[in-house]
Amino acid sequence: MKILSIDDSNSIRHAVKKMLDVIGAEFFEASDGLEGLEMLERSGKMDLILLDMEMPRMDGMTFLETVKKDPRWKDIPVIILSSIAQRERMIKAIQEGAKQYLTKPFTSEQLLVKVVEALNLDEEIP
Amino acid sequence: MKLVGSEFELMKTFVERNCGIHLEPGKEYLVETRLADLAIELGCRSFLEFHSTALADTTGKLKGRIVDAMTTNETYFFRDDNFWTYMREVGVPELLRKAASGPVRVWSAAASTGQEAYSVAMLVDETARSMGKPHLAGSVEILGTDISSAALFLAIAGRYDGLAIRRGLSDERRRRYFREDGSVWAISDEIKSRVKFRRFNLMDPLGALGGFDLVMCRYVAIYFQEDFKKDLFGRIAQVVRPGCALILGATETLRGHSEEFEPALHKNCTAYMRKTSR
Repeated sequence: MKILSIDDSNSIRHAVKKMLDVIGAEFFEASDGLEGLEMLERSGKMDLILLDMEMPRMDGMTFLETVKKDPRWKDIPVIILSSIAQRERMIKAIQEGAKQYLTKPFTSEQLLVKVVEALNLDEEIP
Repeated sequence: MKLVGSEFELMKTFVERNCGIHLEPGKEYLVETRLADLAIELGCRSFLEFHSTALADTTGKLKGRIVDAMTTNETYFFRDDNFWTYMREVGVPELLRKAASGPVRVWSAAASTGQEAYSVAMLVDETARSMGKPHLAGSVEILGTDISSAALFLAIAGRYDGLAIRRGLSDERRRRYFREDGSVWAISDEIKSRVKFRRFNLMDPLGALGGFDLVMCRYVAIYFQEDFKKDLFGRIAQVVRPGCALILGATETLRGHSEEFEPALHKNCTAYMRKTSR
């Protein structure tokens, strides 16, 4: 299970990595949209992308639009992780094809529940 | 996303009918803050659209996510000292006394990511060992249910990050009952084997779950409307064995909701004992 976290904050990426260790995910990271695209080119298909909105060089929305237009990557589910102040942009991101979004700050349980749902890991629960 | 005009009434009726959650006027902010994320995820531009989407959902999955969003609670190991004092001094010793003559069953009714159910399993193990009868712990079956299948996936995995493991858990318990796997702590196989999890909506008939010797329904009913509380506790009374305990959250009471239980105060924890004569 390969998960790419794109966020310009080192501390958020570090915290997200620790949270994702709980489900044994293979973690990849990038500090902006451009680096995220490079990572996709380099590392092949991801199972899930966690995406911040406000970033230098290439922001989350531009990254999302680029990924959703590329047949290689358009089916990768994307969860937006962003602040409540950006809710209008979140609506646009969902319209652009993001699967879910989570408002910062979040707990590990909140993030993991979203990740489990996005990856349909809970399909087999009795 | 803003809640406007009659949308609150629409959402209120939906949530009450389908989730049993009561929303008083003035609680508009609860709908707005807790359901807006979900509505946006589903591509809805307004709560009116979200309401239509929710009505059209026949899988029950969206209903589960709405309940989950409305009732999200903090969950951590050994939450509430008073409750765990009761469990250590009364609840668990009584379970083990009964376990000497056959299997006993415990139900964690809103198990979320599993901390409450695993806390019971750890305490049962500790108590059985201190009695010199560790084998008795294997006769206490613990069932954890929740409406959220994603939360249950995590409960079944039994893996917690550094922050979750530090909340409520002593170093000694962490060392004894968890093994370290990088930055994650995984519950021991022995404790894990004593807890079963399954998805369950408290609005459904409880009979399929069987009878219980102790039920924990903590911080669940606080969100429910009065009629549903009565209905729920009435149905729980049918699965709590006579003389056995139902435990609610520290701020909750059964008063006015059920005549089938007798309160029993132990230090600062009230256990509601199922009356023996029906």
